[in-house]
Amino acid sequence: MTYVFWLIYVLAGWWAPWWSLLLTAGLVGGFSKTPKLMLRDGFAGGFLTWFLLCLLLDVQSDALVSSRLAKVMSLPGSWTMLLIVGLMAGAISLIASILGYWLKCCLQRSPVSS
Amino acid sequence: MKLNPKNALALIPLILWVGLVWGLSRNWGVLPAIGPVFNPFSGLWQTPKNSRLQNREWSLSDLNKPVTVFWDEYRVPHILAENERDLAWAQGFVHASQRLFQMDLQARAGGARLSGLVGARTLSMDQFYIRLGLRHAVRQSLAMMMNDPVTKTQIEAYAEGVNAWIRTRTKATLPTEYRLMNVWPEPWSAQHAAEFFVLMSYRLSGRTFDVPLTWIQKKYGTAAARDLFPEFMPKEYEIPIYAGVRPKGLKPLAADKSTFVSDLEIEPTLLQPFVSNGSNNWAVGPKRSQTGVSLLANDTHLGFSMPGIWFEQQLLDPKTNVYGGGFAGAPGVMSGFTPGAAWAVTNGTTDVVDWYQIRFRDEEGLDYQTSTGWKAAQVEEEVIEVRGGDSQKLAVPWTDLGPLFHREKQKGLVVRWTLHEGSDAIAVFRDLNRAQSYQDCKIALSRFRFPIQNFICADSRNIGIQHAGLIPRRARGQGQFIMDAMEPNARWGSFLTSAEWPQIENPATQFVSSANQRPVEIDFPISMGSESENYYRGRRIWDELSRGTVVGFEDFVRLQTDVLNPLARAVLPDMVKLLSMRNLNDNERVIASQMAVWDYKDTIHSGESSVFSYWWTEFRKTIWADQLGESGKALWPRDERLELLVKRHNLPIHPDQRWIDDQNTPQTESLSDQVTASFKAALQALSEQFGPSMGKWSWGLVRTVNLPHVGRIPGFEVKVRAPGSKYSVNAMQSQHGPSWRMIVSMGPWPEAITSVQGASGGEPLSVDYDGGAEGWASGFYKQVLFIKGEQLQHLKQPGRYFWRLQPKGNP
Repeated sequence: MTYVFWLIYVLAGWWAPWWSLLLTAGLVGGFSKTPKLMLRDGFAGGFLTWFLLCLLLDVQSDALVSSRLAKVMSLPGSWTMLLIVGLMAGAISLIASILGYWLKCCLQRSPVSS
Repeated sequence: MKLNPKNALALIPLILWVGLVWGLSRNWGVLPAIGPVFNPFSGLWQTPKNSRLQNREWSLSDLNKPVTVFWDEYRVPHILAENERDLAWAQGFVHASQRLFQMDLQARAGGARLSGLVGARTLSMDQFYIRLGLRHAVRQSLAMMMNDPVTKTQIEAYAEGVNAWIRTRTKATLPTEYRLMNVWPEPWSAQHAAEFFVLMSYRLSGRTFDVPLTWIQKKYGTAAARDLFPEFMPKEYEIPIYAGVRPKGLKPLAADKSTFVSDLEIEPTLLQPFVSNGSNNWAVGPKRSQTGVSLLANDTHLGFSMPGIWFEQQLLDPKTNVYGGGFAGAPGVMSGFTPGAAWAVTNGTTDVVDWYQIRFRDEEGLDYQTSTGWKAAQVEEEVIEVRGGDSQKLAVPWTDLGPLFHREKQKGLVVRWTLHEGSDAIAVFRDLNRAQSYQDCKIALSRFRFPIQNFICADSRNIGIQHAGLIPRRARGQGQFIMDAMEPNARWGSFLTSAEWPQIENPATQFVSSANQRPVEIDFPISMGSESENYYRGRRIWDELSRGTVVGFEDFVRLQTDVLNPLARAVLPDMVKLLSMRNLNDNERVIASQMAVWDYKDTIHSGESSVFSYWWTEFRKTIWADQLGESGKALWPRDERLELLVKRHNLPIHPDQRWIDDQNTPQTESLSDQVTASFKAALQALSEQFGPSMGKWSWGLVRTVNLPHVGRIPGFEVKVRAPGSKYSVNAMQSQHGPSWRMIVSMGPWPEAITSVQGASGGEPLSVDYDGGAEGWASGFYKQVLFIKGEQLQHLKQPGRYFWRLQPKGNP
């Protein structure tokens, strides 16, 4: 189920603002069945989409961006830079999906009055 | 669904989510906004693709007629417009497309507004510039530029072109620097052009030794200060650019007899920018040129940066066809050629900054003493915007001489500088860019004001050189130290007229040359000051050109990239002789014998170059630091003065013994002791930094050339190895050197080769950013494509691109 959200994100991301990552992660959290799945999909989705897409783009320019940014941030090299960007995306995506899960819980527990 | 406390709790994760988006959209200290900067879809990963040069059609409002920009395989733009207004407009558009951040930074620096972009870090620099009168100079220059209707049109059109480029940008396609800082570039205006020229003039005409020299004067007396910083050296150390020149009608002034010594307590901290800024230029006439027409060479030495300071371009409109080096930030070519004329520049090192001590009526007020009574200083109120902080106010009192730079109760220090007079340099370069003959070139330059340049003009048959700019009429000795504002003779009379400028036209030797050395000889009627560069490059160029042979492109390339170190050649044999061998160990003795047979060439493989450089640096320190203070906080005499000190070793009593002796030790040191001690210290330093074996001390490794990012963002610099040194014609230093080289043969149609540091693309994340750095460093030149407008359609080939700039609404 959550894979669909991530797939839509990768396709829509080219037009959507950058925070569509956090929106997608929130939805993933909201629709996750168990906290464990939420944590896994929230982190892995953000990490994999950013890491792989950045890698794909970076390879096309011979690692120009990753290597220059790595120098700016005093990191050892391209791979570290890409990994850190992936981990950052994973982390923020994880937080957003926790927030989504939290929101779902709030809404489920709240009494619905007619 | 009613809002009750229970489902109101659902707002918490929502608010936190919004907070997360907000927090990741902004900068935190040096950390850029993670979301917009690093995401794969619109983040920096897209920049190499977005910044790649390609064929493009642009539809642009406020352009009058179509403009074509042809990018050749070296990424040099050739801009073809149908009128001069569109040409200026298109230059703004093209410059911004390649160099927006650099332009912004430079204009802000010149206008003392850098803190508005950078923040509190540059506040003291802005304040310093304001106290020196840079903002005042911008206002003066802008008023003059706006007063000339053609210049006004030009700089306004240029600004509109820059703004048109900024409008084509989105947050995702801004230059990387703006994205990392998370700011939008400010709109461009006519003022930016004036700010840029003021910055360049500050850098080039801001040499001023008066304040530190006054400190030396106070400590050791006027005679000693003048001996260390002579207006003229003994004849064998002089190779004046305008030897034997006596402008007609220029009357000598009586020598300055003032005995005034300032009693200000100001620190002798150096008040001078980039002392190493300099350049070489020379030309030979048709009789000495293999091409049968005049041949001209220029290499200008400015601070290195990425992108480089120079912007190579060709500009064409119905009245203009000019090729050469200009600057992103202003319209026009500053070192280049047209079909009929070429010109080349070197900085003229005539002193144009003087300091005066004034007296206030009381300790607080602004009434100051003049020969006609008390006068109130006019206050100029300045505001400095500070990014991420409160704006700062600065009130600068102006006297009739200039701004008050420093105050000690009733005593004040004011600075007078030709920069404050203002200049419409745009108009001068516009005329120069249209010059079709030697005479046109000279006429255009007659209006030039600052920074003083040695301009060589050439057409196919004529060559000439002139010291162009505002030259104060000053007596010998005047203006070397802080002067008394009440002394009527201390004030500048007037400026020389262009007919009175030192100049040479078609000399019998068939060559002219300059390299920032002293412009004139000792019997020149007025004083040009004592702040010229070392004469070594000038000497080498003069020696080579005065051989009288017929020369061509290859000879000029060889001379521009010449790495013979004339200082080493002059001084090293004596220094080796002065070494006290019994105080050296075996290894040091081996190196000493190797130094004795060195060919004096600063090649990248030379270990001797490194030894000499370290040795000379240590030696300078050994001689001067004990009495004149540590480097960077005080002033040390020029290298040629130290060479003279070494050369005097044969005299029975050394006249410089007071400087040779180390005042911090009880015993008396001899010259030999100091030469030996500095030699040992130099080898010690090299061993510690690069290992004990001299094989590891190659010049290319020891002295790396660093091309720092223009905004000093670490990681965006480029490092190269390059031959040459401060003393060789190839004046390569670690952060300064020949950033623009050009050799032109004026012909029926000019032919030229050029070499430029940091070619046009300034985007740090583009494939072109460091392109060409290695080639430039090793002395590679490219053949220039100097085209006629009608040729444009026939130039299509891979690696070349066309931009078609169409006025909106027109087909």
